Parts: sequence; C-alpha cells; structure tokens
Amino acid sequence: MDPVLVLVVRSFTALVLLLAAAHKLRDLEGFRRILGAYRLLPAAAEPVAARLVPALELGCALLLLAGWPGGGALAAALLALYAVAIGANLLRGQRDLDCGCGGPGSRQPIAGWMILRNAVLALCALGTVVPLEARGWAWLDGVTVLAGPLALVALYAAVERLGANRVVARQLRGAP
Amino acid sequence: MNAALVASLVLLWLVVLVLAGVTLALARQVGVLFERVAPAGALVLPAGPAVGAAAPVLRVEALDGTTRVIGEPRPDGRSTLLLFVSPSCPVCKELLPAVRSMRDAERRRVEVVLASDGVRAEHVSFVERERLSRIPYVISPALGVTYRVGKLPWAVLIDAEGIVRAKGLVNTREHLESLLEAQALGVPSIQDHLDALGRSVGGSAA
Repeated sequence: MDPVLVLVVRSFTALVLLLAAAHKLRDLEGFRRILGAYRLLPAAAEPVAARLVPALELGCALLLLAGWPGGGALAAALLALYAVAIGANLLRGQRDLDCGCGGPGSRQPIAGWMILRNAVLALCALGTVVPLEARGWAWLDGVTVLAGPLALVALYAAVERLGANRVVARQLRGAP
Repeated sequence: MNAALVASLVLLWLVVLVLAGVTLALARQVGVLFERVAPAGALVLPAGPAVGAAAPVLRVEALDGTTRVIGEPRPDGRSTLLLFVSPSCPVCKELLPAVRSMRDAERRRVEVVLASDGVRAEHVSFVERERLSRIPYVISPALGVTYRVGKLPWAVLIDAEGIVRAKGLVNTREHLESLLEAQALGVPSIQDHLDALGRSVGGSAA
C-alpha cells in the first residue's frame, strides 16, 4: 500500500493513544476508580492495572510512531480488550458506567457505538503490518503526513465530544 | 498541471485542518451550552395549595355565563392549566400568544383555563381585543384567594385526578412550558429536576 496512507493512519492511531494515556496519567486515582467500576479485575490488581494501562498506551503509541510492526498488533490487542470490557458490561446490563475514554472531567457512559469505534481504531493500528510500496518521496507527502493525522485527531475528538453532548442533552430532557 | 495539483492539495489540507478544528470547537461549545443553558422554570412561591396536594374544588362562573367546576377529577383525562391573568397586566398580554399556541399544541392533554376577577365588562373587551374567545375564561375572586395568587401571570396545573402538579409565576413561554414539563417528569418543578440532575451528574462541566 502507499506508504503515505499507512503513515497517516498509523500516526493518527498513535496520537489517539497518546492523548488517552495523557488523560489517564493526569488523574491516575480517577482512572483507578473507573477501572474498579468496570468490575472485571480483582480489587488487589486495580492499582497495578491503573498504572499498567496508560503505560501500555504510551508504549504502543511510541512503537507505532517508530513504525515497529509489533506495535500495531499490540495496540490493536489493547483496543480490542477495551471493546471486550465495554461489551461485557453492556451485556451485564451495567449501562451507567463511565467509559473513561475522555479526560478526567468528561463523564460519558459506555455505549454500543464505542465497540465499533474501537474496532475501527484497531484496524487503523493493524495498518502498520501491511507491506509498504516502495516509491520516492516528494515534499507534498510531508504536508499530507503532517496535516492528515492532525485533522483526523481533531475530528475524532469532535465525534467523542458530540457523543458526550448527547448524553447531557438526554439527561436534561429527563430520559434515563 | 502538476504545480496546480500540488497547490490545490496544499490548500485543501489547510482547509481540512481548519474545518476539523472548527468542528471540534463547535462540538465543545454545544456541550457548554447544554450544561449552562439549562431550562428556566417558573418561580414557585410556597403560598396556596402545595404541589401534590388535592386542588380545592370550586364552582366558578365563566364569562359566557356557564358554570365550571375547577379542581374536581375530569373524566376526559386531561389536565387543567389554570392561568391567572388580568386585563391590566402587561406581562399577561405578552404571554397570551404563547398561551394560544400552547392551547392548540397541547389540547390532548391539557385544557387551558384563564382566570381573573373584577368588572365583567373589562374582561369582555379584553377577550375581544386579545382574541381569546376560544379559551374558557372564568371570573371568580374566590379562585384567586384560594390559590393565594399574589403575582400575575400565575399558573396552576391540576391533573385529571384533581391533584396540583405544578404552579408558579409564568413570565415567559419557557416558564409556562416548564410546568407541563415538570408534570411529565413527575417533579414539583423544573428547578427540582435540575437540582437532582446536578447531584447525580456532579458538576460535569469539563
């Protein structure tokens, strides 16, 4: 595949993971509480997991940026794990659960569309294992590689924010 | 040709970046709006029959000469929105278009009844002037005294069973609608609903 496309998608995924790690590292205690609310881990493992998850995200992001193929697989596995955690709680009927996706301030309950979102992100991460087509570089490729991931991240954040807005609007209207 | 493509692509990337940024900023602003511009409710004063209590049953005379009973259970399952107005109250006049549209929009669940007291002739010309002939209009000093109406326009929402569901000073269309909204949500007032939300959401301002 064209190297520019792969590079754009890979950098986008890395940026999303970097942002996610930054949110969690800024409020580790808050993330531990969210992790506890998922009720998937024994209480003793929570403090360790609360540190391990952002560390993994950071590591995956750096590996993705460096272009190591294993990084993409690792990131995809991590994203799939989140989807499973969300899906398990949705199946349990526990819908009023903060997903922990946004920053420390954003409270957004888990929802079915997040599983789809994670699947798309995981596919993006797997983009690193596709063999690259060898071709020469032009300076225009630099523009694409810089602007592409930034635009995608901004749009990703906008979609996240709109999802959170919908929850607030529904609460104001008095729906459960 | 190649130069044209390059120029156009660079420009397009710039535009895409700016648009993505603008979209994000708009989404954030919408979120802030949702959180800050919560609905305003009618001002509730404690005087008069409390929300949740049975409405006093009163026999009153309507402007068209018929007699109506306010506060008794209604067989048609509709609520009664008792709106206290006066021909001399300027805010009431501003509210009347909202009352007329609400009467039509909510006629399946609510009957709007205007209530006032004073000289009959004044009310007749008021009704004519403001085109209110399709809305029941009752004149009864006892009604205002019973509900302890101190400020106008004052509204009391009584459900089909004769229970007071909401009441308050209604200066705007939004206040008026907040009474119906409070009834639909099963809360004494929109303010109570928002307070409860604030407690459960816990300062979600991001």
